Parts: sequence; C-alpha cells; structure tokens
Amino acid sequence: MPISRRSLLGAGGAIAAAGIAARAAAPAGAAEAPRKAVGKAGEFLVGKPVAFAYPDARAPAIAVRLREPVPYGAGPHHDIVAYSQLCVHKGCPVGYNAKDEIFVCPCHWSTYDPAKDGQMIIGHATTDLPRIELAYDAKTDELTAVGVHGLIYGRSSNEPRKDGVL
Amino acid sequence: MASKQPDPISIPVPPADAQQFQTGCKYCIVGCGYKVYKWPLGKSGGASPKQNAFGIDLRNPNLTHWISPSMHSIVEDRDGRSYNVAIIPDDTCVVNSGLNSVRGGTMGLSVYRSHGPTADRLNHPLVWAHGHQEASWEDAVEIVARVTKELLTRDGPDAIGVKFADHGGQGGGYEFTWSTGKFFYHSVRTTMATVHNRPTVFGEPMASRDMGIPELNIAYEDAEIADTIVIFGADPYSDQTNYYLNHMVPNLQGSTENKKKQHYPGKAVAPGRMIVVDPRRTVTVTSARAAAGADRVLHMQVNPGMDVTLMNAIARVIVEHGWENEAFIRDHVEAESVAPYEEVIGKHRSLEDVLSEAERDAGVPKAEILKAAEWIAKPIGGHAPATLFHYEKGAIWSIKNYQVIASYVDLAVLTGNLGKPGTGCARLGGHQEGYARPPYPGKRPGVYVEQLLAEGKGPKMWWFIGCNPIQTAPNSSSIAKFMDERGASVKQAMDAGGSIDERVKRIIDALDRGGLFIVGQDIYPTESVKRAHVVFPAATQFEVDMTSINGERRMRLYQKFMDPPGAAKPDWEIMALAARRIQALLEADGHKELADRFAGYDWKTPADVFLDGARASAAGRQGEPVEGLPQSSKPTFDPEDISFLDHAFILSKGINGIQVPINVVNGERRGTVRLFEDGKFARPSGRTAFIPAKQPPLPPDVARQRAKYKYLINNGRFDAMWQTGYETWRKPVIAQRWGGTPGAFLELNVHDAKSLGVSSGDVLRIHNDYASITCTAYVSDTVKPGAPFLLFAQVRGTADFVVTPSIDPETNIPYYKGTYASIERVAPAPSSMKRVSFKPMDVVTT
Repeated sequence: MPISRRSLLGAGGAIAAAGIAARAAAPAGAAEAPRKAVGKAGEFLVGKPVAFAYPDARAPAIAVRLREPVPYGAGPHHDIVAYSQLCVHKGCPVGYNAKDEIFVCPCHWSTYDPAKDGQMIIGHATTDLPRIELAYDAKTDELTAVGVHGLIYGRSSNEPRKDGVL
Repeated sequence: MASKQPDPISIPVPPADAQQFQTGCKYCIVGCGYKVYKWPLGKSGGASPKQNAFGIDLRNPNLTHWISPSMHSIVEDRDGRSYNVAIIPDDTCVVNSGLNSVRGGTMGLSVYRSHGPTADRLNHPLVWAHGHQEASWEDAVEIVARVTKELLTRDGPDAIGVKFADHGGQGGGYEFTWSTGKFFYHSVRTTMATVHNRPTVFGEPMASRDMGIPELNIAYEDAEIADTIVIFGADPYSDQTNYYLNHMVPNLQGSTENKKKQHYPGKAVAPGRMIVVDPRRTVTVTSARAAAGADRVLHMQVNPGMDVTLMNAIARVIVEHGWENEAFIRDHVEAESVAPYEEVIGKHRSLEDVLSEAERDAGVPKAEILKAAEWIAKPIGGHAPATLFHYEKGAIWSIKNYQVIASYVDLAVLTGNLGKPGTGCARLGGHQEGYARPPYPGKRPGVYVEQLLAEGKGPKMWWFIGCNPIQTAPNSSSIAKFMDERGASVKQAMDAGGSIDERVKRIIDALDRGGLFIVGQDIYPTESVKRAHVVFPAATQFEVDMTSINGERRMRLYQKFMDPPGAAKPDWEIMALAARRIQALLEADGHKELADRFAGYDWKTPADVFLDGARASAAGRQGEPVEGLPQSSKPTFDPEDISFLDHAFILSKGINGIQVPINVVNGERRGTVRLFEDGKFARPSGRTAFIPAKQPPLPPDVARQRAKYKYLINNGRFDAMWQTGYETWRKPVIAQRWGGTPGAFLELNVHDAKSLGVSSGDVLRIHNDYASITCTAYVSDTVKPGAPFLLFAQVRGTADFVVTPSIDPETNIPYYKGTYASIERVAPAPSSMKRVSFKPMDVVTT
C-alpha cells in the first residue's frame, strides 16, 4: 500500500509503541473529542492515502481522497474521507486498493468501502470501519479530525475513561 | 449514517468477579470457541489486571480480548435482574485461536432482549383462534397430544409427519436430535419424516457412506499438513471461515512446515497448494492466491453440473501416469470394484479422447485437468503427496447427488488419501453436527413427504421443528401453498372456539376432509410458523446447556448463561411434555402397548437427555451403561457416536473438548483424531470400494426450464448470511450492509447486466414455470455470463421457489444448484440501496 511520508505513525509502529509512548497524549476524561490537524485538502491526491493518528498517537488512521464526492466527504469537493486504520476484526492495519477504492486487511482479507461510511464489503469484522469525522476550513484549506463514528479496535471507548481504561 | 453505533460508545469492562461460561459459535460447522462474561448492569471492571476479568492492563489497547459493540448485550433474566454479557472469541480454543467470523462475532446482537430486533422471539405457546392467540403450555400441549393420539390410534403412525433439524449448533445439538428423534422414530414410529433441508432423513453424501467412508473423517490439523487441499463446491472463506483462516491459510503461507516434518519425517516440505472447483471466482480463490501465490492455486470453473466428467477425467490422468496408490488399492479396496471403475473413467480409451471430451463438456481446459491430477497425485521426491479432499453443497446439491459424490470420493480411494495425517475426504459442512436418534422406521431413500402433502396426500398432521420449510425445500412455494390451502379448514375448525374436546373433534373432522393440522416449533415467527395452528416457543443456544460436534467431530458443551424468553422451553422439554401427555391419553383409552412407547421421557435436565442417547448408543457397542465404563469397547464407524460420554465429562474437557467417537481402552476414554487410521472402512468387508459413476444427464424438470429460460440460477450461502437469515437480519450492522430489508441479492455478470440494462441495487424479477421472485442486483465479474448466483433461503427472493422439484431418486437429494429462469429489471434501486456498497467482493489485494 502506498502511504505518503506523512505516515510517521504508520500502523505497525503505532501498535508496537502502544503502552507507553502516547499515554500522555490522551486527555483523560475529556468531554469533547480532540481536534487534530490532518493536512491541507489541496495536498490530497486521489489514490494517495495519508496516514495520521487520531484521537491519540496509539490510534493509526488513514485519510484518502476519492474519485467521487460522498455525503460526509470533506474538503472543497467533499471527496476526502478518513478512517481508523485498525481493522475491526483483529486490529491489523488495513491497506488501500486505490484502483477499486477499497480498504483491505492483509491479515484475514476483510474489506471496507470508504465511499460507504466504511461498510464492510466482505469479511469477518463485526462493525464497519470507524470513520473519522473531518472538518474543513475553506479559508485555510485545513482538514481537522474532530470525532470518530464507531468504536476503534482494542478500545472500550474512543476516549480514555475516568478509570483509566482505554 | 444509521449503520454506525451511536456516539459516544462505551463498552463496560467485565470486572474480575464476572461470571464466565464457555460456548461455541451458534452457526457454522467449524464450531469456534467463544467465552462469555456476565456481570451486573451498572458495574464495570478497571484498568489494572487485577480489576478486570481478562487479567490484562487495559490502559493499553486491548488487542487480545476486545469486546466489539456487536459482542456485547444486556440481558434480563427471569429473576428480573439485568446483566451485561460479552461473547468474545476464545483464544485458548484450538479451532479458532481467538478468531471470529462475522457470524459468530456478532452473537452479542443475537441474544434475546425485550426490545429491539430480537424482541419478536416466540415467548409463549400460540393456538389458532382468529389468528394466533397466546395459550398456556397445558392447553397447547393438550390439543397437540389429543390430535396425535387420535391419529395414531385410528390412522396409524404415518398420519403424523415431521420435518426437523438433524444437526448441532443453534437449534440443534444432541439433546435436540435425541429427544425429537426418540419421539418420532421410537414413540410415534412415523416414516413421514424429512430433515430441515431435504426430502429425506438420510445423509447428504450417501455414496461416500456406501463406500465405507463416513463423511466427517478428518481433523482440522490435516489442512495444516496436506500438500494439496482440494475444495469442491465450497467457499470456505465465506462459509467455514476459521477452518480456512486458522488451518488452511497457514499451510498455504508455508508456516506449518514444522508440523509437516513432524508427521512425515524425511519428506520434502513446501507450502501447500489449493485446487478449487467452483463455477464462481469466490473470495476463497482470490484470498488463497494472495496467501499462496497465484501459481499454487488452481481454480477450475467447471460448467454447472458437469462434475462427474471432470472428476473422472482427473482420475484418467492419474492412472495414465501410474500415480494411483497401488498398495492402498491392493490392501484396502474391494478388488471387484476396480475394473468397473477403470471402465467408467475410460482407462481403456485414449487419454486425449477423455481430455477433449472433458474440456468440451465440463468447460475446464485440458492443461488444468492435467495440473489437478499432478497436484493431487504426482509423487514429490518419491513420496505421494498428502491430499485432503473437501466438498460441500456445490457437490452435494449438484446435478445428481449420488454420482457426483461417488466420482469425487473415488479420487481419494484411487490415491489412497484416507486415514493418514494431511489426507481425508470430508464434507466441509454447514451447521455443526450432533446426531443421535433411534433408527428411522422407513427405508432408503426416504419419503418425499412435502411432495405428498402438496398432492393432497401424506400425513394429516405435520410438525416442523427447528426449521423453516417454506425457505428451504425444492419448489418451496408449493409448501406455502399446501400450508395455506390444507391448513384453512383446520383454522376454521379452531376459529369456532369451545372446549379443547370440541376443538379437537372439529380438527379431526377437518383432517378427514383433506385438512392438515400444522404444529410449528421454533424461536422466531417465520413464514412457516405464521401458518401453524399450534406454535411451541423453543429455547435456543445460550438459554440451555447443549452439546454439538464440529467438522472434525470435536464435542463440546455450550453452557447456558441466560434464561429463555418468556415461557419458551428447550425442545427436549417440549417433546417430553407432549410424550407424557400422549402416554396418559393412550393409557386412559386402554392402548397399553402404544402408551408404553411413550414412556422414558422423565428427563429433568439436558444432561439426562444426553445420557439417555449415550446409553442407547453404548448398548450397541458394549451392552453396559455409560457411567460404569467397560475395560474396552467395540469400535464404531459412526462419526457422531456419543457412547461413553456425559455432560460432566465433556465439560471437564473445556472448549477444546474431545473428538468422537470415543473408544474405551483399559477403562479410559480416548477420542478419535481422524477416521480409518487402522485401515478399516465401514463396509462388511472392512475395505472400501470404488463406486463407478457416469456423468448424469440434466433431470427432465430442469431440462424443460433450460429450454425456456436463459439463465442458470446457481444459489447458496454467503459470508454473514446465515441460512434463512432468521438472526442475520436482526443484526443491524449486517442488515444495513444489505439494504436493511430481508431479501436475496443476485450476483450478475457485468455482460448480462449490460444486456438487461441493470445496475447494482436494481430490483430484479426472476421467473420460471415454478414461481416469480424479486431480488436485488449485485453486478459482478465473479460469476460467468448466463450463470448468476442468488443468495439462498431468504424470506424475499426465496431461491427455492424457482428451484424445480427434481431430486436424485437414489438419495432424495435435490438438484438445488441448477434451475433456469428469466431475469428482468422491474425497478431502479430503492433509496435504501444508496447506503449499500456494491464494490467487488473478491478484491483482497492492494
């Protein structure tokens, strides 16, 4: 899967780092989802996924620009979408098939459609792929991650809970 | 969008003192292990390992025991208290090693709740009186018992018909099969019986059994050891998911080489190869290629129904090269069966003739047939390959069941791939298994009861249990029709009300005038249940202890962890209620001998039911009861035999259970990893035998449809969709993926779609002489032009409505996979389809 150089928090690394590296990044008990800059819409190219992390450094995410606009798409053309990169079957990082615009899990081949809200096309996951809500500021062309629809793999909540459970 | 869980999601953590239970997946044959946690509502465990039931630090992502929103639910027990339950895949189970399928992983959504999608579970007995009315168990059983007694004493056992599940897993298990089997085969003694998916009570691969090769003969470990795995008419990625992912795929990836060396020291080892025989390019094919490399996967897109031609051609190539297993044939095959087999595979014809004919008729290129023979049988470094043969409904439900199965099992016999690690010839399976019943009182091939009923003949009372005949029988619109038409006079008789005496008298009058008294026993108000006159609400898995075996005969106990809804009862308890009442009625009428047949239903627990069945099995193997184990036991070839087992022993074996049949050696119970390791086969001679099979012609009913209609309508299971969809469509995340409304979709080739003017999501009408149905289009290039694939057994777009009544007269197994029909577009995609993905389902690489 071609992932841009932005992917410093690429999937495998994020999982390996889980535990210590990012604990401080999680705003314990935060009432609101964190906001996190994802990049400028103009820099997104169709078929070139961009890796980032959201809502904290242990949560690898992936943003893609689709060929067609979608109802929840961000950016000037409503065609940029973002998802948790962790397959909701067993937590492997999904790759991106740019030709068919499908996320593919390399471990057990569950597939998800970024143009249909992360719907599982076929496979073994028990929810759709969690979608990360993107806000777009037309003045700055900045995309910002502002929330997650669906539960990220490995967590009991997308926010750390008061008792410290992730 | 609505498919997402409401935000924010927060799943409580099972505290350290949460109750824990073991269960298995309710659905497919693989029987993955699951662990259940139950704890009071409002309570949650903490982050430190001592504060949660997993014993892990939950400040880190929970990579091993994650509870997805689909694995969690809240249940209310009969004590009025509410509990959290989490049902997660068990990483200590050797079957699935912590993996879940989409079916099992969504079991949390399937548990009964008094509101939400499962709220319409049958929770009270129903008796017809201007519609279904709630009744007490006492009254509902009384009506059924009196009608049964009346018919039994006046008309005889065959006035009472039954269609019932014969399997394990949800809606089944040994307690289910034994209690229902004892009732109908021992007490009633009817021959008017068929099982859930076919017009017979006999097995699906009878040819294999006739060859002395019971069809559950392998261990899942064999798929890790085999040099070549052959998959015929099956899609294990979709339908036997974790057998495929956890046992076949590691072999294809080369990560089981140590295991191969251990079993075959000195033999060269390499990653496994896979041959898939299927008209469709399934995701099994594409994912196997991703795992093994395209050059180690051979996909033979056989023309539908031309299987025997293909199998015999492969055999012909094998004998051409002398790759048959001479020693095995000499020592383990009945000699007189060899020459007829050689004749039928064309040993005396030129190879070129046979191959040309096969290429022409079966549509498989000669080079692929040669390669298949090589992968199955060509020695590698002086050793014959270990080849594992698997098959399922694409074979079983093909053109003529007996010959198709025979031609395939013959390949295993020819190459001696039986009874050794990495070999075998076995069904992949549908449901889990768990069959223990007294002998069926009728003869092979059984009785096509539903056809008799459609013709106005057959039994006067028809009881269906744990199955949905309208969605799972050939030409099944005829079933809805006879239930409506012959059931109408009984409804009128019951509409008039009155005492039970009066109602029963009127029911019997109606039956004597061609009416049909219908009893339904199930968990949901299915299309079949809606037409029953008396409805018994059953408990199901999670609500009662039950035992099942998986595809490698691994016996486990699935524990009860919640109460059944309302007044619902386990099937065995319902059968016992009916039997005891019938016994009393017969005694009161002075029918002592008949009454005695209904004795022996004094079970108190499911363990009692199991023991009753186990004792009956053991009687044939030793003549001693189960608890006092003998020093040794007689062998059995019954792969589902439960002799010498009881619930406590099975539970003590945990989620990995023990593989049946059990043999007692020096007073100890030993399981059976794979069959035939002693070189003995289940024929009187102790040997196996070839059954020569010729390619059968198209059955006349099907040929008539082909002459009139353009498209072959292949049909079958698919991934998340479990059988009739009774639970699938109640799981919101899965229902949403397919548009929210229960119904079938049709995978239609892009060229066909173009010529029909069809886009994905459009509403299609499928029509032939038997019925018209509507379904949703899914345009695809995984199916060949002219041969679309329809999801089977759904409530809308019921594939079996357009399936012909054609069966193999030798086995009564239908040719479900082959019917012909026209297709037309009747409407554009409804708005609900805007949320549905129609991306290709076989793309697994980036």
